[in-house]
Amino acid sequence: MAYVINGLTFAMMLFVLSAGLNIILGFLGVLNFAHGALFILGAYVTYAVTQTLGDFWLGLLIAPLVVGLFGMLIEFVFLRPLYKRHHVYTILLTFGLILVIYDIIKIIWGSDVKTVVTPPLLSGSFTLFGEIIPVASVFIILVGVLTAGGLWFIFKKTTFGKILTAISLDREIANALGFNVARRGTLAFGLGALLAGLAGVLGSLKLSIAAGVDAEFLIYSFAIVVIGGVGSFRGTLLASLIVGEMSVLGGVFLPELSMSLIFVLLVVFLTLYPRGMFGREIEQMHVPVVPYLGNVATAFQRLSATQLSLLSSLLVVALLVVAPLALPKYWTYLLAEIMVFALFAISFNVLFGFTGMLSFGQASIFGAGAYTISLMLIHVTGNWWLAFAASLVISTGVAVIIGLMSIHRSEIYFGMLTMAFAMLFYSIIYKWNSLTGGADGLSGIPSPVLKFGFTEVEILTPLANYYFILVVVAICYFILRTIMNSPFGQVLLAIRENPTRTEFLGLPVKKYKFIAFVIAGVFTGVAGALFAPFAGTIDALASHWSKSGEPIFMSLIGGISTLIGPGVGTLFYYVLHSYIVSITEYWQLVMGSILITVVMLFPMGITGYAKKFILSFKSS
Amino acid sequence: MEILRIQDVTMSFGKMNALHEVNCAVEPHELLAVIGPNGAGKTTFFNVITGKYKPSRGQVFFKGERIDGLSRPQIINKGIGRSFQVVNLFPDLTVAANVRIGVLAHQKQTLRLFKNVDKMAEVDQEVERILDLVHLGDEAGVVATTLSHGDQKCLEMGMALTNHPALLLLDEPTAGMGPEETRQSIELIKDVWRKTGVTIVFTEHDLDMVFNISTRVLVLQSGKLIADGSVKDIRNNPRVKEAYLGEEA
Ligand SMILES: Nc1ncnc2c1ncn2[C@@H]1O[C@H](COP(=O)(O)OP(=O)(O)OP(=O)(O)O)[C@@H](O)[C@H]1O
Ligand SMILES: [Mg+2]
Repeated sequence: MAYVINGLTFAMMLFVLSAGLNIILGFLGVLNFAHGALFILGAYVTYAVTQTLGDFWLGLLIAPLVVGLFGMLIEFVFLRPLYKRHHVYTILLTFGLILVIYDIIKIIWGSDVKTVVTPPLLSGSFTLFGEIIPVASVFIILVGVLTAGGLWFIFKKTTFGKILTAISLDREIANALGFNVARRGTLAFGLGALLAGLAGVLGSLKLSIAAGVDAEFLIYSFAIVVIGGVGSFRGTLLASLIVGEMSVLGGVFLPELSMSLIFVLLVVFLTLYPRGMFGREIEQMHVPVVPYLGNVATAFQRLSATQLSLLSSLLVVALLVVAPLALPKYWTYLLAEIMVFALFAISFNVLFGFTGMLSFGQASIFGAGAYTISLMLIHVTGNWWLAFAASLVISTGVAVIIGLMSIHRSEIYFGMLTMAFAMLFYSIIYKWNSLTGGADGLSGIPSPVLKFGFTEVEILTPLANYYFILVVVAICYFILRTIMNSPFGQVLLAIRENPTRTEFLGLPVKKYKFIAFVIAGVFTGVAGALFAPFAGTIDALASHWSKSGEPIFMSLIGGISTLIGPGVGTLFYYVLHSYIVSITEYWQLVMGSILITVVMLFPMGITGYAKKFILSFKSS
Repeated sequence: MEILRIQDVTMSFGKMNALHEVNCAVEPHELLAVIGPNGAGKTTFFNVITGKYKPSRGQVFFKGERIDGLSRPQIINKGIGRSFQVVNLFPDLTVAANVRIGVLAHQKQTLRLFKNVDKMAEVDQEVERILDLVHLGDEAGVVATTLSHGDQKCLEMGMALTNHPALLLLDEPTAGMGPEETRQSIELIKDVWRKTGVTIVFTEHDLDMVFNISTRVLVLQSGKLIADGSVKDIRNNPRVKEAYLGEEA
């Protein structure tokens, strides 16, 4: 019984948070990854108000308002210019905001954990039917109910709410009818953020406040919005109750499975009922991921122009061959790691920049490759070929499964499905302690032995590792390069540009997307298989869905319209990161700002602009 | 034997019938026009044939074979090509690359992963042939979006021809063109029609053009087929006049 109350409390907090996420997704079509960060910001503001003014109740009033206003500012300055672009840019922007918000919090409040002193009115508990019930829980449940009522009132009874609903159902008509869609968008985002802030106030009563604890809340919220249905508060409420109780009761009675069960439910809904229990489907248009280039670089999109010439590619490889001779030892190590993640990013971008599929599930495939090879090396064989083959089979298998289940949905739903799979996969890795070592992961992975006929080479030293990785990554790169130059690669570009038209040329788009997904999966698996023995350890975080964000970041910085772009982005990211970390502790703020700047102003990335420059230079 | 038969086809969106119990047939080598005021259901007519939507009721037969319910690629691969009212290209690819996708699809080359697409002579020849057919030979290397509107429409038609269709559906091939461009496009359509022997069904707002070139005319109004006959019949048909006058009023 006490657990049920706990579940209910958790559920109501999730409801307030998810209702905000739902408004933002339903009204603006924005998958707001920063929603968790806004939540935690709300908790910090509550802390600050309680601390300085000595009154929690003022915090209850001020925190949601502050967060709401902050949300409006975000929408107005950052999001508004991005609506016409592919949804990946708004997603990336909210990713960037997370980093920035975390560091703003760190600058203002430092990085130690905070707790809010519960006001006297809410402390203590009472007994009901022999159960001890904390007053704070009752308060949270009450606020949740009031929020539900308030939302019902706003959206059913006020003109503002009705107009908002009308707009979310059909933007163009609403625009034509003369409603100020843009201004109401800002208000809607503000309302969504306000609810996140309010959830933060509630959270501050129960949680220790620290940046990062919001990650779990964010994914639960995503699950809730999808399961309940976009645009439906009734659905959000019901789904919050389900998820809240599942997570609390499940945590008590089925600790191994509770997290996975929620994600299984999420996957089921996304596959079978993408509208959720009561919602509607998000309206979306196909917008190519690569922003239009204008006519400066007329030849830019000719397929060959998406690639380095064979000569320059070989030159890059040659440079990498001599690099360890010229660079300090530390850099040999770093470069090896960069090459692994470059392969990860490049194969991600085969899906993203070349086919137009934004997958958040790549970390699972990477993880599958990494874990399999580690387990093989630890338990079965030291022979690299065998371990590698097994790892390839498993990671490809994971790619096939995720691919088969996800390609039926397109655009934002595809993204959400792959993300759901990534969470599911992560929860399995995390909980399957006996096999994977859970959160601690596996360590002491023996260095592999390469057998060629009679000779054997053990890949032991950093230098050996470096050259080994270079060889494998270079081979992969040239294979991918060949594939992207082929008729098949051409079809992928067509799908990216205009999937409907591709179908009307007689090409079954889903089949090609699936093959692309599997190809990308194979090389992602290779990257994973290279990484684990090289690093010597692997832990659950490597397959966390947020890891899937990294290749997105690197691709965008390096340029998604070229094959080598994500590789360049990876190099840039690592070099920049190690530099920034050496000069400031607020590296997240700097990286986040860079990400936001790139998203807003330089969407073609380093190689994109380089290519444009070279081509306009050539043509003049 | 007729190449296309539409049997009792109704297409409803919610309560509204965009097509209502339409019956008609197309004979080989016709140059058939489908006309009707805005919102009459012309585009829907094409969408139902090519599998963009599955008809709510009724059947569609192509060369005697039932095709409603098949997927879009399946229908296209039976030998139907279509162009779109609103330009629908691969915007950032070159003109040649736009056509090449269709050619690769038709020649069943699209699953080749290790062949360099720039070194496929047969494909290039075919692309060249089609570009010449639609008078875009000189623009092969230009990015599609930088073409003039008229040329983009021609490219549309070229793409629709890549699968050597027996039936070509052109949705307002002259929409948005000036008089001179319109005249050229009409010539082009007639030219393609004569050279390839393809059956063409097209929709068009410009009635002079329709009466000028088509062998037969279908008239749609509010989703219903209100007339079907030769140019002369249609010209003198009072219901057609009414339909059009009604729109102007
Ligand atoms: N996907 C859809 N959903 C809802 N209604 C639709 C849809 N497609 C078409 N309609 C409606 O069906 C009717 C017929 O539309 P259609 O586009 O076929 O007309 P049309 O004759 O091609 O018009 P136009 O001359 O403007 O091109 C219109 O009222 C239109 O609004
Ligand atoms: Mg039309």
